[in-house]
Amino acid sequence: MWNYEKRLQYPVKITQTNPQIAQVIISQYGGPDGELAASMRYLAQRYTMPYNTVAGVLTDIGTEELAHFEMICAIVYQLTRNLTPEEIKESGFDKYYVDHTLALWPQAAGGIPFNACEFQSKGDVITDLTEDMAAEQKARTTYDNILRLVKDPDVCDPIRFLRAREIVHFQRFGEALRIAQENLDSRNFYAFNPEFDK
Amino acid sequence: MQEWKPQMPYVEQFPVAMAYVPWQRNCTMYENLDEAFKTGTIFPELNKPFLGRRVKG
Amino acid sequence: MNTGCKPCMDTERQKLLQEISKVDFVLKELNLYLDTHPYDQQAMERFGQFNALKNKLVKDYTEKYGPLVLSIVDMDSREWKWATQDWPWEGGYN
Repeated sequence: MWNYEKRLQYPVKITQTNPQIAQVIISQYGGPDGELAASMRYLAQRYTMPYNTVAGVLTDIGTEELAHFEMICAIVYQLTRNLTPEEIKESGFDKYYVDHTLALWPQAAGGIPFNACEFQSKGDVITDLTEDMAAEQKARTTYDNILRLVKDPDVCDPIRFLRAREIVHFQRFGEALRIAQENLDSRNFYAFNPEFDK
Repeated sequence: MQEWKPQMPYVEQFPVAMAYVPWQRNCTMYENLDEAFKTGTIFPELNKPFLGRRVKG
Repeated sequence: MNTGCKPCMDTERQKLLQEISKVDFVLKELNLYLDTHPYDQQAMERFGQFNALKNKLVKDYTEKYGPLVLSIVDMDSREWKWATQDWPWEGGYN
């Protein structure tokens, strides 16, 4: 069950359009390490999670990621608002525009559509939490890469916020893994899979 | 937090072939909420900004 | 209907919404912290304080400007502002 709050988690107010940078930032919507993949990954993994606190981490971070792709979409939307056909052609936004006009569609910067193969739900606590920690680092690197390209403070500000969240989430998934370890036998963490074996 | 004492004795706390992130023990918050919001975390300990250049010394 | 000047009203509205976002951000951070530190009394107390503050601010905002959540709506209004007012991605009051 979810409830919508009619506000963004962090404000997005962009005055200057920039379709070129929008095409880069859209990767954090539908790209391999984007917020949509993050959200779907954590929310998918939680059902078979044998520890309540770890299922809580997955639920609550997965929920926050929904608010993050809303922010990314707001950034892309505001960067491409009211573009003229000339601006679309000059900026190279025409290849996206021909299929989606100025609407939002989850894809990577290179045009590859969002795909569930970008994440796993493996059904093994250690494996899934290790993937989640890696996912947060991959998203953090993507934000670092974006920050090198973007100069507009209206855009940098929310991107920096999103980047900082990746580090906090990494810490929480790391702690979730510690909880899993405390429930397993430290002499052999891999003796059985608590999501499957009795 | 006292209920979460690790079951393993200290010397055996970190067996090989496993990843460990240290527990956040300090829940000190930024006094200034504007600063916390702008930083993207309420915990000064977790503030690790991107600089995009090597810091000397 | 309102007597205040529009730009001033807008600034106040924006300020209140930002205040809600800041308080809610503290809640989100404490929420995640508590998930992995479920016996931290201090963090739990703080969560309670900020939660009460958020509820109060959202109530104030709803009365003055319009709804943010469907659980708190102004039943005296003759308009379903949830749908008629701008959505957050427009960048208006966020």
